[in-house]
Amino acid sequence: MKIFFRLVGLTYMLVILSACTPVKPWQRGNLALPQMALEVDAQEAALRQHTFFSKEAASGGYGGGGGGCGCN
Amino acid sequence: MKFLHANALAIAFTLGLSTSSAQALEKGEVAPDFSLPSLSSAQQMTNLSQYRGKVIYLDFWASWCAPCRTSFPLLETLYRQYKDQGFMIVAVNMDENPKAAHRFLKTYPASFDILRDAEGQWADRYGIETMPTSFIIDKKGVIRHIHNGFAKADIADIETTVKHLLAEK
Amino acid sequence: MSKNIINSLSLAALALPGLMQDAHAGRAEETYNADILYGHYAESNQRMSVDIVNVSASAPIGKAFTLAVDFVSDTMSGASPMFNMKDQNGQVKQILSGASITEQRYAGVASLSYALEDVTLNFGGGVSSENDYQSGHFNTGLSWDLNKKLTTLNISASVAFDEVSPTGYNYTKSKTSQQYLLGVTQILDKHSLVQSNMTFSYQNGFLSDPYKLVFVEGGGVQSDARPGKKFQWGWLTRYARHFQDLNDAALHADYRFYIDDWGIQAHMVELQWQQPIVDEWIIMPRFRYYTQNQADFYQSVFNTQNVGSVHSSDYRLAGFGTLGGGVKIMKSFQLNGFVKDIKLQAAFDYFDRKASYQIGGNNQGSFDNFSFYMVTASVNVKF
Repeated sequence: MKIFFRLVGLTYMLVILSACTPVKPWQRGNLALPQMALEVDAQEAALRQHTFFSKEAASGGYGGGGGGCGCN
Repeated sequence: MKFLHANALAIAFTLGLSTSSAQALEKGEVAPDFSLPSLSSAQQMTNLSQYRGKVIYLDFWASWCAPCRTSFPLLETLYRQYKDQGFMIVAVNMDENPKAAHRFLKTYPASFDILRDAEGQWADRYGIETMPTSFIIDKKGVIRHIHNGFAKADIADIETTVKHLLAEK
Repeated sequence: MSKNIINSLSLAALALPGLMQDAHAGRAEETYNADILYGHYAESNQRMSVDIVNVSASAPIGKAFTLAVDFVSDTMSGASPMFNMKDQNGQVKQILSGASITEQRYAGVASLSYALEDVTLNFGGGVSSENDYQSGHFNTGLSWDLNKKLTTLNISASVAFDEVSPTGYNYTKSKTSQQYLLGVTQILDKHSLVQSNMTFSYQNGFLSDPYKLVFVEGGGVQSDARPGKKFQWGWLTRYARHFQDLNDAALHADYRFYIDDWGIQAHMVELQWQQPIVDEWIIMPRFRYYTQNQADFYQSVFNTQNVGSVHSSDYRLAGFGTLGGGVKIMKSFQLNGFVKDIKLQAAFDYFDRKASYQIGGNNQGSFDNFSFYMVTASVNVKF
């Protein structure tokens, strides 16, 4: 079972990755634009995640985590 | 968790092998001569060999590169200080859109030579892996130092090297 | 091989005595940053409202260290749901606590990161304090650039210790949480990248809410009582794509799947469109949808047969969906002086939380529906 998952995972990721064209270090200008950053505004992102965390059962994925609260 | 980790490593390994590019240049090699247009005018070509006899700081940069915002003001000061002793800075711009480079230079003015390698042919030949990467080339055209990235504190070391090379015959 | 020998020989001959070691480039930013954010959060029906002030600063230390500190103050007031009951007509109604006095939460976090050529290490910790709730945490993380920086691996772990001493009761209870994150970021091409993060969390201790009750038909009320352990798994995938022809606009799409051993499964989708206008102005409309099913031990009201030893009527463990979105505006200035960069941001978002927005749920009615909005404004300065 474990081996099966390993193979599926590996194949899946290799397929995805082989689809990407190598991007040279000097060709990353578009990716370096502020609007392409995954974390646009750390403070606001943390506030949003904190709010959703205290109103919804699900959390996680965005990292940071930390710091509980007695939120009602 | 364990199997994912193994996957990630396997993938990194596979890709690491498949994307290895042209052989990077090393210290002690003669800097390959290029001919590139200037940023401001595509008709005006410059060869690296034109600067032979000077100590050259050859910088591959782009407007979007964060350490380049640190390096430009410091390089401009260094250039003004040593240009009369035979020091030259040649900054090769790698922006896809030259407009972005012009906007950058409005904020961070530079009086040294700015060239443009639109196709990335020479960045490839010089084996650039980080933006910025710079090469300090001596009067004979030999690469004496390769500098990846740029931190504020690096300028002191660069100045020492430049002074040392200017003193060489 | 022979080329290498020749190279190293000529290198030795050319060596500059006592000059430079090879420089490394791990840390991209070398500025001092100061950020301040003000936020206001308010729920419908005179329920809770919160005023948030967040101040952060970071500074480079030496060639490779970055120290960051962050301070948050939350000022909360208003009522919050306590339990549900059935009225004379058999309709479920939500009972709120009386409008509470103003409460204050302070939280502080500090972290130190160390950047090597391809690896960045991070260590941090923080505390959060309310009059009835204390929390402390430590975290550590590693980010590793591979494959000519086309791939980044992220691994992090955190542990938190919480203590609650509910007002009006004479006890203190605690819980411990551990969270592990494993993530990969991959550059796909010149215009797109994808990130996939998994988090595994494990909590144990007192996981109930001391201020919440359950209503038992014909049996009065009982305290909220949840299992003493919880295992959570979240899988978030984020995609970002650049559109050159649309003035460098960017699309961000996030999807998260979540499951825990309390019987909750949840899906979250968030879409953002960042549109540069002119002169470094960016406008960003965004949309978010969330849906979850109820926990195994949740019921809006219980009866003496089904109340059991584990039970909760907390609206956050119910089945529901939240639909909403908003708009954010950003303006930045790049300068070449003492101040290097100034960024101004403002945002407004509105969310509607309804039982009927749940995917595949049997709508339990509108008794616990509510909506909320959030306004933020911030200034970020780099020196």
